[in-house]
Amino acid sequence: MAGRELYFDTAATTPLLPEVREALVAAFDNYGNPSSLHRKGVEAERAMASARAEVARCLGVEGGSVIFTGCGTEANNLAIFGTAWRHRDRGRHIVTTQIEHPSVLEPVRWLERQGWTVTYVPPQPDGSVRADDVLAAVRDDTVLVSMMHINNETGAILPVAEVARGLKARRKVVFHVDGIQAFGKVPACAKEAGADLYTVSGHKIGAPKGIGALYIRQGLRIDPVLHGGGQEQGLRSGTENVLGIIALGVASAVARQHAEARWQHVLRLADRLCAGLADVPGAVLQRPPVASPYIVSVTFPGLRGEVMVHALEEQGLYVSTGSACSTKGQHATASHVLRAMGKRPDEVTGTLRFSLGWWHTEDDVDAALAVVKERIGWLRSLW
Amino acid sequence: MIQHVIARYGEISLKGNNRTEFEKTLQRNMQRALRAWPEVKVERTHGRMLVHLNGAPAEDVMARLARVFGLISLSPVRVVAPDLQAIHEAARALLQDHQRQAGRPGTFKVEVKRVNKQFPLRSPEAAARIGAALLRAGMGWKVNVHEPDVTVYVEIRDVEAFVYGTKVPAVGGLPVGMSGRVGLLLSGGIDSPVAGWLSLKRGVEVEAIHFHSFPFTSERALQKVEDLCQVLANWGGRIHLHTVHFTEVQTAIRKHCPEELGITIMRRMMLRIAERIAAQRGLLALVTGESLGQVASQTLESLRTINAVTCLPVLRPLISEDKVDIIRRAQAIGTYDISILPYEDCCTLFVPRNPRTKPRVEEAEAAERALEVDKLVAEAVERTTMKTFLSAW
Repeated sequence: MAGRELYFDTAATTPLLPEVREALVAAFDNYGNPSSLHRKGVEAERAMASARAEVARCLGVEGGSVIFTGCGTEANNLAIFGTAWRHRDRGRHIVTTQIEHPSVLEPVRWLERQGWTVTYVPPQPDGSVRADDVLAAVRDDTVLVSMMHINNETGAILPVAEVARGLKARRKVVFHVDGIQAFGKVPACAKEAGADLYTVSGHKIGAPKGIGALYIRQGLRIDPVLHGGGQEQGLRSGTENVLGIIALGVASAVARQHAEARWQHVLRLADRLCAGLADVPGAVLQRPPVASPYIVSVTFPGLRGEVMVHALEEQGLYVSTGSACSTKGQHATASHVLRAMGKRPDEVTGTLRFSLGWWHTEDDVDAALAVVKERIGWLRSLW
Repeated sequence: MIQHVIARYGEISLKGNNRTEFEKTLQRNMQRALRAWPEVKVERTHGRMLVHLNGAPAEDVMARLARVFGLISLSPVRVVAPDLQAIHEAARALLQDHQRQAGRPGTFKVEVKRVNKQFPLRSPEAAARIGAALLRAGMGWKVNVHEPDVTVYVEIRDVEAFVYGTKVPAVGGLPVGMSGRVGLLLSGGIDSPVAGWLSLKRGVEVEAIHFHSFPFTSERALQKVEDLCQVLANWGGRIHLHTVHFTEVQTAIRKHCPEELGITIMRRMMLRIAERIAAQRGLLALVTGESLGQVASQTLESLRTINAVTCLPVLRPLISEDKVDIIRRAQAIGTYDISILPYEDCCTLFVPRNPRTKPRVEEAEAAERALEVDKLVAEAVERTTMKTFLSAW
């Protein structure tokens, strides 16, 4: 067992940032309910307001609102159901892509079962999605276009800005972007995407699990999914997760300050990783033409992803098969993203996802590559 | 008010020392199973166990006892003053309980045992008086002395009388710990936990032996086996799990042996390793979940070739069971939902495309020539770890 831990699974989740830990420890005993009239409540509300401002700043937006949710999945559900319900009189058609996360695909499939029509735009074989394909799918009765900013399995950056520009002519179509893999990494991501709704998750950027947010452009109205005490402007009732919100605020602030420099740093690491992986016999890189450096997907046809994950883990290297969320009962299921890209079954089951962190060094990448070469070689000697 | 529970055991053919050992083991297992209620005391008396509740909830205690191997039935006992009026009222309550469950009145008889010979009425007389009072009570019950729906048992003692009649079936079998110890080859599948449970039911202590082949099987597959051990421990009181690190054996077979004999040789290696663990731990036999003809390695030819490496008895409680029946049992035991979790286990990943269904012993021996059998076995045994599971019920 290698002494060194090489965690290359940051697209699944990230360790807690020291700055976040510090803020949480300081806030642990501030137990006020933001809805209370007394001072305790006011203190909590103030902490939330500053976190909200930090999230907005990291998104690069002015105006509009940031609604805190329990997770990214909930924010995606709120965006989709909230829009569909509110604007159901405009039409019953939704456009999305075949490579969305299940937290987008499953809500639209549910709506499909309720009589809505959904167009699922296919990706190109290289994992990219063409803006023209998305725009061509929009019809007169389209209510919502929902697409991700960065694909969580391949790292493909989707042409969200181009789609947003194309949708300008159709003012009634709401544009939702699932930005879970972009938030805190792409500078001013929501502004850049031109989104009406933008989804954020805390634990991908060093906040704990259990906090997410949905940005809503000024003037756009959607309906709530959770009804109750009217918190979060009536869009997400339930006593706020104040600690989670504070954590997300701090993580957003840290991410925003360093986003650009870190992107450049990780880009160099990703290039190094790709070059090294390309040298491993039998490896096929799955790099979309425009991709996030934070995610590198590679296929070893004929080997099984699950076995590779464990073989690498044995030497301290942690990676995923496809996405951690695509496991059912912790068992890897065939990736719908890779299948949509037209990959053969043995390519789908033989694909690994490396996802990088800004704290990784060239040394880490080299150490990871050494583990990959040795372990994959060993597996190849058996099959 | 239920104050006692009578717990009956079967296997009446047991005699002499065997019987005493049976009763002592059973009493100990019962007391252990009831440790959540320290106030409950188990007393051995007249060929049955009398469980003094001392305030513990009768239903919970009975539910727990129904899962203690060796007990065949349980009866809640009403304890009243030793006078006819009080006994009659308790008997009436008993019949009412039955009527509520059956939805209608039935037939009954009364049996009286007079432990206190000072009691003014003789047993038959007392029974007749109590029976007559029950008939007069206007509940609609009728007497049937040959095949009654309910027998109302009355025991008149010195300062109290027992009234009981309801019989709740318990799991049966023999008390765990009176039949020696076995090694159970436990995979994560459906069959082997059931084989283990059936072994416990016949009174043996079970030590599970699991072959772990990380990275070909995951940590989660091992967790699953541990969860299965926990379920077996809930039934049997305690399970030791020996986890054998089997990766080197798997890869050596893969490298040095013909693919079509891979499973046969793997099973032979498992038995060799299990035999060594058995010797260390004083296990008298090995138990497997094999069922004849279920898969390629479970043909008679295959079983014979696999079995040839050991002279320990290999018990196969499921050998003639159909899969559906095994599944039904697994569901009843509580292992099924764990077993069907979809992680790779040792057997699935190395399955050859065309396994030999009728491997001969000589073939297997020839195929193993390139394998350093003794060294591999010794190293695997060396790297085996043990973990213990205690009942969580």
